Amino acid sequence: MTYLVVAYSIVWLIMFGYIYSLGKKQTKLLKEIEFLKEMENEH
Amino acid sequence: MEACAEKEKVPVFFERKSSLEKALFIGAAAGLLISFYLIFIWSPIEKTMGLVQKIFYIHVASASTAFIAFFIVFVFSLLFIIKRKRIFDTYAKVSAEIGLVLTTIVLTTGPIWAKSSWNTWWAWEPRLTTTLILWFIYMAYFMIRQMDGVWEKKARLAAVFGMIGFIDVPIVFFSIRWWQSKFHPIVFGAGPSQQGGGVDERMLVTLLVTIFAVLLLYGYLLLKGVALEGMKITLNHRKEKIRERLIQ
Repeated sequence: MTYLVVAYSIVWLIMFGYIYSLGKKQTKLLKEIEFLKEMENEH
Repeated sequence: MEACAEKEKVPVFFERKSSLEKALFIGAAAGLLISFYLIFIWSPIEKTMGLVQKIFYIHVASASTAFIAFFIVFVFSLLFIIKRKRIFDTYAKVSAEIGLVLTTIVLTTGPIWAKSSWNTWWAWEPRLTTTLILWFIYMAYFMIRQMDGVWEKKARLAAVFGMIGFIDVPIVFFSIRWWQSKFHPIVFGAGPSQQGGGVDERMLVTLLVTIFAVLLLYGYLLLKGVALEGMKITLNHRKEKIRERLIQ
Protein backbone atom coordinates (compact mmCIF):
# COMPACT_ATOMS: atom_id res chain seq x y z
CA MET A 1 0.00 0.00 0.00
CA THR A 2 2.81 2.45 0.94
CA TYR A 3 4.58 1.83 -2.38
CA LEU A 4 1.36 2.51 -4.26
CA VAL A 5 0.74 5.79 -2.40
CA VAL A 6 4.35 6.92 -2.87
CA ALA A 7 4.29 6.06 -6.60
CA TYR A 8 1.06 7.96 -7.34
CA SER A 9 2.14 10.90 -5.15
CA ILE A 10 5.33 11.19 -7.21
CA VAL A 11 3.32 11.02 -10.45
CA TRP A 12 1.05 13.86 -9.29
CA LEU A 13 4.01 15.86 -7.99
CA ILE A 14 5.82 15.62 -11.33
CA MET A 15 2.67 16.38 -13.36
CA PHE A 16 1.60 19.35 -11.22
CA GLY A 17 5.17 20.59 -10.98
CA TYR A 18 5.42 20.64 -14.76
CA ILE A 19 2.02 22.29 -15.28
CA TYR A 20 2.81 24.83 -12.54
CA SER A 21 6.13 25.68 -14.22
CA LEU A 22 4.29 26.27 -17.51
CA GLY A 23 1.80 28.54 -15.71
CA LYS A 24 4.61 30.56 -14.12
CA LYS A 25 6.35 30.86 -17.47
CA GLN A 26 3.11 32.13 -19.05
CA THR A 27 2.55 34.74 -16.31
CA LYS A 28 6.13 36.00 -16.68
CA LEU A 29 5.88 36.23 -20.47
CA LEU A 30 2.51 38.02 -20.35
CA LYS A 31 3.90 40.57 -17.88
CA GLU A 32 6.90 41.20 -20.11
CA ILE A 33 4.72 41.56 -23.22
CA GLU A 34 2.46 44.07 -21.39
CA PHE A 35 5.49 46.03 -20.21
CA LEU A 36 6.89 46.18 -23.74
CA LYS A 37 3.51 47.25 -25.15
CA GLU A 38 3.43 50.13 -22.67
CA MET A 39 6.99 51.06 -23.61
CA GLU A 40 6.06 51.03 -27.29
CA ASN A 41 3.08 53.30 -26.64
CA GLU A 42 5.16 55.74 -24.62
CA HIS A 43 7.83 56.17 -27.30
CA MET B 1 20.00 34.40 -45.54
CA GLU B 2 16.41 33.27 -45.94
CA ALA B 3 16.71 31.29 -42.76
CA CYS B 4 17.67 34.47 -40.90
CA ALA B 5 14.60 36.26 -42.27
CA GLU B 6 12.47 33.37 -41.03
CA LYS B 7 13.96 33.87 -37.58
CA GLU B 8 12.69 37.45 -37.41
CA LYS B 9 9.11 36.64 -38.40
CA VAL B 10 6.46 35.81 -35.82
CA PRO B 11 4.65 32.72 -37.13
CA VAL B 12 0.92 33.35 -37.41
CA PHE B 13 0.08 29.95 -35.92
CA PHE B 14 1.66 30.93 -32.60
CA GLU B 15 -0.75 33.82 -32.17
CA ARG B 16 -3.94 31.85 -32.73
CA LYS B 17 -6.02 31.15 -29.64
CA SER B 18 -6.81 27.47 -29.55
CA SER B 19 -10.23 26.16 -28.52
CA LEU B 20 -8.74 22.70 -29.07
CA GLU B 21 -6.39 23.46 -26.17
CA LYS B 22 -9.38 24.03 -23.85
CA ALA B 23 -11.15 20.89 -25.10
CA LEU B 24 -8.01 18.84 -24.53
CA PHE B 25 -7.63 20.21 -21.01
CA ILE B 26 -11.22 19.34 -20.08
CA GLY B 27 -10.88 15.93 -21.76
CA ALA B 28 -7.62 15.18 -19.97
CA ALA B 29 -8.96 16.25 -16.57
CA ALA B 30 -12.14 14.16 -17.01
CA GLY B 31 -10.18 11.23 -18.45
CA LEU B 32 -7.73 11.21 -15.54
CA LEU B 33 -10.56 11.36 -12.99
CA ILE B 34 -12.31 8.42 -14.69
CA SER B 35 -9.06 6.48 -14.95
CA PHE B 36 -8.36 6.98 -11.23
CA TYR B 37 -11.83 5.67 -10.42
CA LEU B 38 -11.17 2.65 -12.64
CA ILE B 39 -7.69 2.06 -11.19
CA PHE B 40 -8.53 2.29 -7.50
CA ILE B 41 -12.14 1.11 -7.36
CA TRP B 42 -13.26 -0.76 -10.47
CA SER B 43 -10.27 -2.84 -11.57
CA PRO B 44 -9.56 -6.06 -9.64
CA ILE B 45 -6.62 -6.54 -7.28
CA GLU B 46 -3.94 -8.71 -8.85
CA LYS B 47 -3.54 -12.05 -6.99
CA THR B 48 0.27 -12.28 -6.73
CA MET B 49 1.40 -8.67 -6.38
CA GLY B 50 -1.64 -7.24 -4.66
CA LEU B 51 -2.42 -3.52 -4.56
CA VAL B 52 1.01 -2.41 -5.75
CA GLN B 53 0.23 -3.79 -9.23
CA LYS B 54 -2.01 -0.75 -9.71
CA ILE B 55 1.17 1.23 -10.46
CA PHE B 56 1.09 -0.68 -13.77
CA TYR B 57 -1.63 1.55 -15.26
CA ILE B 58 0.10 4.91 -14.91
CA HIS B 59 3.53 3.34 -15.54
CA VAL B 60 2.51 1.82 -18.90
CA ALA B 61 0.36 4.83 -19.90
CA SER B 62 3.28 7.20 -19.27
CA ALA B 63 5.68 4.94 -21.17
CA SER B 64 3.38 4.59 -24.21
CA THR B 65 2.70 8.34 -24.33
CA ALA B 66 6.43 9.08 -23.98
CA PHE B 67 7.06 6.82 -27.00
CA ILE B 68 4.46 8.74 -29.00
CA ALA B 69 5.98 12.05 -27.84
CA PHE B 70 9.41 10.96 -29.09
CA PHE B 71 7.85 9.82 -32.38
CA ILE B 72 6.39 13.33 -32.75
CA VAL B 73 9.90 14.69 -32.07
CA PHE B 74 11.18 12.48 -34.91
CA VAL B 75 8.45 13.64 -37.34
CA PHE B 76 8.78 17.36 -36.59
CA SER B 77 12.59 17.19 -36.57
CA LEU B 78 12.46 15.65 -40.03
CA LEU B 79 10.01 18.34 -41.17
CA PHE B 80 12.29 21.02 -39.75
CA ILE B 81 15.31 19.61 -41.59
CA ILE B 82 13.33 19.62 -44.86
CA LYS B 83 11.30 22.84 -44.57
CA ARG B 84 13.41 24.88 -42.12
CA LYS B 85 10.34 26.40 -40.46
CA ARG B 86 10.57 27.40 -36.82
CA ILE B 87 7.14 26.04 -35.95
CA PHE B 88 8.36 22.48 -36.66
CA ASP B 89 11.35 22.96 -34.39
CA THR B 90 9.07 24.32 -31.66
CA TYR B 91 6.76 21.30 -31.85
CA ALA B 92 9.77 18.95 -31.66
CA LYS B 93 11.24 20.80 -28.68
CA VAL B 94 8.00 20.89 -26.68
CA SER B 95 7.22 17.25 -27.47
CA ALA B 96 10.70 16.21 -26.33
CA GLU B 97 10.19 18.10 -23.08
CA ILE B 98 6.90 16.31 -22.36
CA GLY B 99 8.44 12.98 -23.40
CA LEU B 100 11.24 13.56 -20.94
CA VAL B 101 8.80 14.38 -18.12
CA LEU B 102 6.84 11.19 -18.88
CA THR B 103 10.03 9.09 -19.03
CA THR B 104 10.95 10.53 -15.61
CA ILE B 105 7.59 9.26 -14.32
CA VAL B 106 8.34 5.83 -15.84
CA LEU B 107 11.79 5.78 -14.25
CA THR B 108 10.47 6.69 -10.80
CA THR B 109 7.34 4.54 -10.67
CA GLY B 110 9.24 1.55 -12.12
CA PRO B 111 11.78 1.19 -9.30
CA ILE B 112 9.04 1.67 -6.65
CA TRP B 113 7.08 -1.17 -8.22
CA ALA B 114 10.31 -3.19 -8.60
CA LYS B 115 11.20 -2.80 -4.92
CA SER B 116 7.87 -4.23 -3.93
CA SER B 117 7.72 -7.00 -6.55
CA TRP B 118 11.37 -7.94 -7.22
CA ASN B 119 12.77 -6.80 -3.86
CA THR B 120 15.26 -4.52 -5.58
CA TRP B 121 15.07 -0.87 -6.66
CA TRP B 122 17.00 -1.39 -9.87
CA ALA B 123 18.33 -4.20 -12.06
CA TRP B 124 20.56 -3.73 -15.09
CA GLU B 125 18.25 -5.70 -17.33
CA PRO B 126 17.34 -4.80 -20.97
CA ARG B 127 14.12 -2.79 -20.47
CA LEU B 128 15.36 -0.70 -17.54
CA THR B 129 18.77 -0.03 -19.06
CA THR B 130 17.43 1.01 -22.49
CA THR B 131 14.82 3.27 -20.82
CA LEU B 132 17.53 4.98 -18.79
CA ILE B 133 19.56 5.44 -22.01
CA LEU B 134 16.46 6.99 -23.62
CA TRP B 135 16.20 9.44 -20.74
CA PHE B 136 19.88 10.41 -21.10
CA ILE B 137 19.52 10.82 -24.89
CA TYR B 138 16.76 13.40 -24.51
CA MET B 139 18.58 15.11 -21.63
CA ALA B 140 21.48 15.52 -24.06
CA TYR B 141 18.97 16.85 -26.62
CA PHE B 142 18.18 19.72 -24.22
CA MET B 143 21.83 20.28 -23.42
CA ILE B 144 22.38 20.88 -27.16
CA ARG B 145 19.62 23.47 -27.08
CA GLN B 146 21.22 25.20 -24.09
CA MET B 147 24.52 25.72 -25.95
CA ASP B 148 25.66 29.15 -27.06
CA GLY B 149 25.08 30.09 -30.68
CA VAL B 150 22.48 30.88 -33.33
CA TRP B 151 19.15 29.14 -32.65
CA GLU B 152 18.92 27.76 -36.18
CA LYS B 153 22.24 25.95 -35.93
CA LYS B 154 21.29 24.53 -32.53
CA ALA B 155 17.83 23.57 -33.80
CA ARG B 156 19.37 21.72 -36.75
CA LEU B 157 21.76 19.84 -34.49
CA ALA B 158 18.95 19.06 -32.02
CA ALA B 159 16.74 17.86 -34.89
CA VAL B 160 19.40 15.40 -36.07
CA PHE B 161 19.95 14.27 -32.48
CA GLY B 162 16.20 13.94 -31.87
CA MET B 163 15.83 11.76 -34.96
CA ILE B 164 18.79 9.51 -34.10
CA GLY B 165 17.63 9.35 -30.47
CA PHE B 166 14.28 7.97 -31.57
CA ILE B 167 16.06 4.75 -32.63
CA ASP B 168 16.16 3.84 -28.93
CA VAL B 169 12.34 3.85 -28.65
CA PRO B 170 11.73 0.57 -30.58
CA ILE B 171 14.79 -0.87 -28.81
CA VAL B 172 13.16 -0.12 -25.43
CA PHE B 173 9.91 -1.74 -26.58
CA PHE B 174 11.44 -4.87 -28.11
CA SER B 175 14.32 -5.26 -25.60
CA ILE B 176 12.50 -7.82 -23.44
CA ARG B 177 11.35 -9.65 -26.57
CA TRP B 178 14.85 -9.76 -28.08
CA TRP B 179 16.98 -10.39 -25.00
CA GLN B 180 16.49 -12.57 -21.94
CA SER B 181 14.98 -10.65 -19.07
CA LYS B 182 14.94 -12.17 -15.61
CA PHE B 183 12.75 -9.48 -14.09
CA HIS B 184 10.69 -7.46 -16.50
CA PRO B 185 7.58 -9.42 -17.53
CA ILE B 186 6.10 -9.57 -21.04
CA VAL B 187 2.37 -8.90 -20.79
CA PHE B 188 1.43 -9.15 -24.46
CA GLY B 189 3.18 -11.45 -26.97
CA ALA B 190 6.22 -13.61 -26.28
CA GLY B 191 9.98 -13.32 -25.69
CA PRO B 192 12.96 -15.73 -25.73
CA SER B 193 12.38 -16.87 -22.15
CA GLN B 194 8.76 -16.08 -21.40
CA GLN B 195 5.24 -15.96 -22.77
CA GLY B 196 2.99 -12.99 -22.05
CA GLY B 197 -0.01 -13.90 -19.97
CA GLY B 198 -2.21 -11.01 -21.09
CA VAL B 199 -4.43 -9.16 -18.65
CA ASP B 200 -7.89 -9.44 -17.18
CA GLU B 201 -10.57 -7.70 -19.25
CA ARG B 202 -11.26 -5.05 -16.61
CA MET B 203 -7.54 -4.40 -16.23
CA LEU B 204 -7.25 -3.96 -20.00
CA VAL B 205 -10.14 -1.45 -20.10
CA THR B 206 -8.57 0.48 -17.20
CA LEU B 207 -5.20 0.51 -18.97
CA LEU B 208 -6.69 1.74 -22.26
CA VAL B 209 -8.67 4.52 -20.53
CA THR B 210 -5.54 5.62 -18.64
CA ILE B 211 -3.46 5.64 -21.84
CA PHE B 212 -6.16 7.71 -23.56
CA ALA B 213 -6.32 10.19 -20.65
CA VAL B 214 -2.52 10.62 -20.58
CA LEU B 215 -2.56 11.08 -24.37
CA LEU B 216 -5.12 13.88 -24.02
CA LEU B 217 -2.92 15.47 -21.35
CA TYR B 218 0.04 15.19 -23.72
CA GLY B 219 -1.98 16.91 -26.47
CA TYR B 220 -2.94 19.73 -24.12
CA LEU B 221 0.62 20.21 -22.86
CA LEU B 222 1.96 20.16 -26.43
CA LEU B 223 -0.37 22.95 -27.57
CA LYS B 224 0.22 24.92 -24.37
CA GLY B 225 4.00 24.58 -24.69
CA VAL B 226 3.96 25.62 -28.35
CA ALA B 227 1.79 28.65 -27.49
CA LEU B 228 4.28 29.66 -24.77
CA GLU B 229 7.20 29.31 -27.16
CA GLY B 230 5.24 31.49 -29.58
CA MET B 231 4.84 34.12 -26.87
CA LYS B 232 8.57 34.00 -26.26
CA ILE B 233 9.25 34.59 -29.97
CA THR B 234 6.71 37.46 -30.05
CA LEU B 235 8.43 38.98 -27.03
CA ASN B 236 11.88 38.78 -28.62
CA HIS B 237 10.42 40.28 -31.80
CA ARG B 238 8.99 43.24 -29.87
CA LYS B 239 12.27 43.70 -27.96
CA GLU B 240 14.15 43.77 -31.25
CA LYS B 241 11.75 46.39 -32.65
CA ILE B 242 12.18 48.62 -29.58
CA ARG B 243 15.95 48.23 -29.74
CA GLU B 244 15.94 49.25 -33.41
CA ARG B 245 13.76 52.27 -32.63
CA LEU B 246 16.02 53.37 -29.78
CA ILE B 247 19.12 53.10 -31.98
CA GLN B 248 17.46 55.28 -34.64
